[in-house]
Amino acid sequence: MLWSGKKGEGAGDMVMVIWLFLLLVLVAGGIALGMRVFFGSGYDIREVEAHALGERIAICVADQGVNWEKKSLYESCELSASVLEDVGEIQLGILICEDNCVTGKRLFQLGSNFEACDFTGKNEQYARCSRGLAWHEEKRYEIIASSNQEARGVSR
Amino acid sequence: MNLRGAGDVLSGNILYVILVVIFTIGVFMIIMQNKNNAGQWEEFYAKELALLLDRAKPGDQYTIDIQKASELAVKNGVSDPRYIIKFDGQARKVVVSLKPDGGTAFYYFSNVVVTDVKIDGLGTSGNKLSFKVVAPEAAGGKT
Repeated sequence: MLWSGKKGEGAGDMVMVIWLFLLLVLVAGGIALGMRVFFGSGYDIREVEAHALGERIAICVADQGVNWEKKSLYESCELSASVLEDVGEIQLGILICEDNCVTGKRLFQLGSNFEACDFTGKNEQYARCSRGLAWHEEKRYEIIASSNQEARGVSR
Repeated sequence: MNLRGAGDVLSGNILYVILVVIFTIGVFMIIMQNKNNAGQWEEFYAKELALLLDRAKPGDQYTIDIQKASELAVKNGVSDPRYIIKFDGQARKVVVSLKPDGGTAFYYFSNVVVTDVKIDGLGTSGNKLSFKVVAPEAAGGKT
């Protein structure tokens, strides 16, 4: 036991251990910060991915319209339903609206936090978004796509 | 002779040593994890390949220079070319492994499957990855 015997005996050692511990934490923090600065903070493609998703849907809506009764949006646009519904529900988002997404009717929605698109750039954790327009049979549609997908580590 | 406190000094020193050992192991592990910056390169290749597939259409064929990835894989003891870049057509994800103990995965959202994956021998100059993109039905996979 570090603290034994008379009251106060060994208190100096305890104080020294705390200082040593603080010093080690400080050094570890410095090393972690240095590595982060040196290696960078990851490779961010969220904006490009959101743009690719939005563009694909915009082209598809312009070509085929928004009638998804016979063929779903995923089938029409050659999107993977399993990725978008299982993985994408949290990390990828799609919102398709008639005319605009403020007052227009929402025709398709995957994901929910599209309000965060207005704050992109203010918080690193928010999804990156892409807004686009598509015209089909003289009707205008607004398409918002978002991505917050991060790479995952896998074990062998 | 006053021996009182000798035990305290000893236990204090042991605690010092334990803390220093834990700290050293921690720092060593962090450095080993970032060895060669392999993790960052895994992320780079996984994300770029996923982006490529996001925009790909069935029938497309690609040949990509993966010299940096193969160099790192060889340095880290990965000698099997099939192991470094894998396309999981069922889950629609790209898995890049440049170190023996694991890798990095990234999902692509387009409904395509990759076939005919070929990688030149690792470590030689001008390593190339080539593959074909097909519809899942053509590859016998599920949507």
